[in-house]
Amino acid sequence: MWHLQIQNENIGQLVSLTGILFALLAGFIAYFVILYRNKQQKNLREREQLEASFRQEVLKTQIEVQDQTLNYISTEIHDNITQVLSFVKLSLAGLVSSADAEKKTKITEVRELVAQTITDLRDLSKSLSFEQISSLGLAKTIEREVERINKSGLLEVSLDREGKEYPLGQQRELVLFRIFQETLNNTLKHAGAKHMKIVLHYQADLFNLTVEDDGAGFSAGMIAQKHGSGLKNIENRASLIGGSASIVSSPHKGCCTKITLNPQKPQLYTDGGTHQNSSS
Amino acid sequence: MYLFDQWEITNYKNNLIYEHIDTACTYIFIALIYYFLFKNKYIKASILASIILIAIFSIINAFIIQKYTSLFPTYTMMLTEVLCIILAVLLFNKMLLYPTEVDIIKQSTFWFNTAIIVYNSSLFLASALANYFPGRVPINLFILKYFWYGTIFLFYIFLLIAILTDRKEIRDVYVAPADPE
Repeated sequence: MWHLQIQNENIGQLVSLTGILFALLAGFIAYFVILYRNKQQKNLREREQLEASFRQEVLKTQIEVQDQTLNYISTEIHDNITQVLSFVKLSLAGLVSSADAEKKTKITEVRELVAQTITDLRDLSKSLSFEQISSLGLAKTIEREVERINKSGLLEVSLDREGKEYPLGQQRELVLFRIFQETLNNTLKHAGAKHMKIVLHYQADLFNLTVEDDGAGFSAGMIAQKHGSGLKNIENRASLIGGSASIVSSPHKGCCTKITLNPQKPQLYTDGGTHQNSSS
Repeated sequence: MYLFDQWEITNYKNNLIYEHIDTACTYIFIALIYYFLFKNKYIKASILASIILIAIFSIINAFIIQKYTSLFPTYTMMLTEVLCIILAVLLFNKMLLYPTEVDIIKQSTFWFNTAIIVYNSSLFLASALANYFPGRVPINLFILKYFWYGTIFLFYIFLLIAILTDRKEIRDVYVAPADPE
């Protein structure tokens, strides 16, 4: 009897021991699975952050290279081509005195054309250079661009400013201006629009740039066929300055591009004085 | 090995020689699998050294400590089980250091490692108890036999899952990346 009791006790202990072992093993495996999944999530998040940061860096570099190129072209137009044209204009002025009446009229017409070309090139040079943005600010630069387009007769553009204007920072304003130029370029090249409306809306914690036209418009399918890199660029540039872009369009109903950003929100693309070249 | 086992049981009413050989061979087989799963040269060298150590110890154990004519090789078993647990823990550690995007439940490496750790830790307990009980505690060892069978059953289930989930591209993720040397 005593012998059987001892044996039962030992069997009980053995079962408990086995139970503890399996519980420990199950606990270990479960803990490992949880730990592994947490690590997977952490790695995934880190990789996404790295990819996003890489994309932003690439875009930032693209914008910087593009700005430097545009600035170089602007300088060349201003310092070289317009100077040569000014010399041509002066030379033509010298010819007027020695020419007969018919030639005088022709030379005067050519001089006026050259003068007009010089003015247009100077305007173009200013619009390409970021110096204008730095000195005049976004609103004034867009206003000048609007004047230039209206003068060209390609489009009838109106500009509305709402709210109290405030500076958004040189880099932000430059990127916003490049987005505006991209939109304008798209409208001129593809939309066949007659009118364009630009609204700059300033609020304490919100800024909106809206560009609306009455052109041919497009559908999402049409963009997919043509890859739509220009529109993607607008979205990427907006995200680079901590904003978002919304592009709404449908066939024959024009297009509305709206850039929204919170000026208080920190941005990745900060004013770091990356633009050291300048045009005179 | 199975035929030898059956022959030995028929002729000698036990399978002691078979167990002595099988314990060493099983460890060598498992250690070789781990050898190919690890890339770290120190771990690889350690695995090779452990194979040699176990082979020598098995021979000494079979002829001197737990003679092949009268005792099962529980000492060799316990030693190989501890080594297998260490290898499994090292592989779990490596998996944690280099996690892949694949769900862990779909990774054969995880199931193989789980099989090894569950099987060897359970059998370590069984071997230890089988060493301790006889002559000390009045207990019928039939319960240990069923525990042993249960563990083996569990081991084969995990191995089956490992085989079913085995995909070269997933396995390679653990094998291929550069291990810190």
